Amino acid sequence: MATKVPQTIRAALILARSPIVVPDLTKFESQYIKYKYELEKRLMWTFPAYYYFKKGTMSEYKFQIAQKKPISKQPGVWYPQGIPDIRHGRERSTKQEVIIPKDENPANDTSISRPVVKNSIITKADESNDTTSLERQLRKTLYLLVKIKPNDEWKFPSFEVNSDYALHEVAESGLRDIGGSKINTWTVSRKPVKVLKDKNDESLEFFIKSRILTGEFVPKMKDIEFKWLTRDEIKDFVKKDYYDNTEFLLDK
Amino acid sequence: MLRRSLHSSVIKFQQNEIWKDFTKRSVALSLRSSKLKQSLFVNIEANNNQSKKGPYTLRRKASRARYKSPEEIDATFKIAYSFLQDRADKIYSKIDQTNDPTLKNKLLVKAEINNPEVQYNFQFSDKIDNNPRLIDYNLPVYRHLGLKHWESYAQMLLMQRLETLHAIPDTLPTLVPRANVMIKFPYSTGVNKWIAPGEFLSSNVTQFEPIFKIQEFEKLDLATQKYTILIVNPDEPDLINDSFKTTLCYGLQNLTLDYNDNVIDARKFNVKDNVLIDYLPPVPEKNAGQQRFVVWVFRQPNPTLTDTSVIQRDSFNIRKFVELNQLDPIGSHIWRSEWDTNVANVRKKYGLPKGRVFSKVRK
Amino acid sequence: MLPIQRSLYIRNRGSLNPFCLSSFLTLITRGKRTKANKNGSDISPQMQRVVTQLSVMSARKKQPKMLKLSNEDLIKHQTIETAWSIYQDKLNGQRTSKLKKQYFAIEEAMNKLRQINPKLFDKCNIDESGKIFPMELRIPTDYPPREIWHYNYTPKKE
Repeated sequence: MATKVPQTIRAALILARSPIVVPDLTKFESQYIKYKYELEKRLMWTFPAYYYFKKGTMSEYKFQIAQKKPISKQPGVWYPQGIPDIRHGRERSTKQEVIIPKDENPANDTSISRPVVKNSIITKADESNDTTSLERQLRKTLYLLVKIKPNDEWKFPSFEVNSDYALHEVAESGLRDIGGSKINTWTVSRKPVKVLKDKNDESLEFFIKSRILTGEFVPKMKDIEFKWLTRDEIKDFVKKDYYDNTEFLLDK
Repeated sequence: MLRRSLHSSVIKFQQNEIWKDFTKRSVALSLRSSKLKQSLFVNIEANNNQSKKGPYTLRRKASRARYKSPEEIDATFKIAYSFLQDRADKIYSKIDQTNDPTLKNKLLVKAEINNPEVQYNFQFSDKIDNNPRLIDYNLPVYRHLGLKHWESYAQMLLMQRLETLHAIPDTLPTLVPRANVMIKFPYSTGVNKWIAPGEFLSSNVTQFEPIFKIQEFEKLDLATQKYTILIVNPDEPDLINDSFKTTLCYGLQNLTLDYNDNVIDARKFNVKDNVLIDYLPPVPEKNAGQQRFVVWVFRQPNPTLTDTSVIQRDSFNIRKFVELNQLDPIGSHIWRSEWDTNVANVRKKYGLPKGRVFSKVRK
Repeated sequence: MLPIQRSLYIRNRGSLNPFCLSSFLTLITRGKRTKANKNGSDISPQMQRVVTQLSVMSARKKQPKMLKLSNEDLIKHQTIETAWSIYQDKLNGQRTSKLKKQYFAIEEAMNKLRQINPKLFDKCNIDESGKIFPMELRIPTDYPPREIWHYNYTPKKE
């Protein structure tokens, strides 16, 4: 056993902005979900309209006139597509389509049944490809990459541990030292997630995982460059073995 | 492979349509009817210029008109099919790299088991009297499917019957069933029926020898593998010892089989090479009880049997015979016989002496 | 009391039990129209409300026809389901292998830390069970909010 060489310990921070929008479904997934939904609708019990719309009320009348009536069974009629089997106003061999009657009164446009206006998932930051923005790539997780000096390489922010503070405390305070205090983060755990041996055995880098909740990274010094990148984009910026060693820690 | 793409409505695969390629694969892995194929692989993008609406398998026009397919099934099936085909393509490339025969077999099964054409062929064709164009037991997939089908019911039924009727351990100690053995008595009455294990058969039915169908599921060299068939009756009354003795009813040796062509009847053997002992029909005696007739099928280690000295009709020691020849029991069958009024006729036909009449109550 | 009598007693109780849905409904709804109550069964509105509630929960007259597939459609459905389950197995496999890698990385890091700096290791090795996600951590939605990211944040002055 060689004598213990006191190695410098560094605490690196993997700061993640978790996705704001749910991930995109693959074609297979979306099609399968559609298929299963259609099967479910076909096998679903008939809607008990008599319970929700009481007999004789105005709402019941409005509801009934909005529905499509199934083909009724009449004596002496030839039904090539099968004799109708209707219970509670529903043709049993098909799915039931319940049509919600439209509100004609424009004053009720503020009601809960008004149509939803969906916000665009592709933001301005996506269009301008602004890699310092936190509003980019809403479906993916963004990670903070930092370049402290112009001749440095892009990597996760890393800080030296020399005092009696724990790894996560060093990482978090170091982040505020370079990025300003107006960052609200949540540390996932005090325990390091990965240890990387620096080339030439100079130091050991311990990674701490953390999440940014609100606020933003504003570089305190002029030379500091930063980017918020997805896992696939990091591959192009960071050194190959650095990426290979840390890729499994990152989410899509 | 399916990649999580952002906004692509068209997925580009590097696809090799392996399930439509029959240069290296057997034709039995495809559907036979082209119209059925059309019905299965409906092209939803192209115009449906089908003159006959509705599924091909519903033959009546009225049923076809009535039938409503589940919605979105064709589009979903298309994607699912390409996903599975892609996977099969990868497995085939793996097969080309390996040399291990058991692994090769396993991979060949894995590559084709999800093929909808194979599944259709297996589920909707006759598995026993199989048409090799549809179910070819030479192919590992169909052997695997056949094995699973047999294990799901018929194998369990056979073992239950053998155990409850105590054929095991009264004849051989036990059986590890690996082949499906089926028997039929076509010569006696002309009735085309596969006998269920443990059935009571009249003396008229059993007066002539049965034919055997032995379906092997394991990968073997069937060109050189030989088989022995024995039919034993462990319930022949032995008055001297106040017990029962085993009679050898029928014995065949050095038989060859095929995965598809596996019916052992008079066309498949000759008296000189294959018959160990001629068929003696069941001729139970009155009040002697029900007699079990157990069929045993063995794999021979050698092309010919080494020691047939123990072969004798009366008081046959089956365990010794099996031990001497190192036979491997792979399958079995059983039927039961009782005395009926026709037994006398059968005895006369075969020139057997008149049967004894036992009393109902022991004196 | 004779055992026969006891079983009869229990059986009668069962049919009047409101949780035995079908018999209760038939018992209540099969009221005859007599001269006394020309408009049908004579049950109180509260009882009618209970009957309606129970009938909503029961399957009577609400079940559609059994889905009978043709041979081709059955095969297509089976193919779809097997493809899906294989796909899910693949995803789960990927998830599990990633988690495994992450676990072993944590173990390696902690072991190294314990070797190099036991004091720091002790600080890091404190039990964190019961730690929960913060309230501000937003759950992803189908579409983004109007204000996508909140930039206004001032840390608490301690």
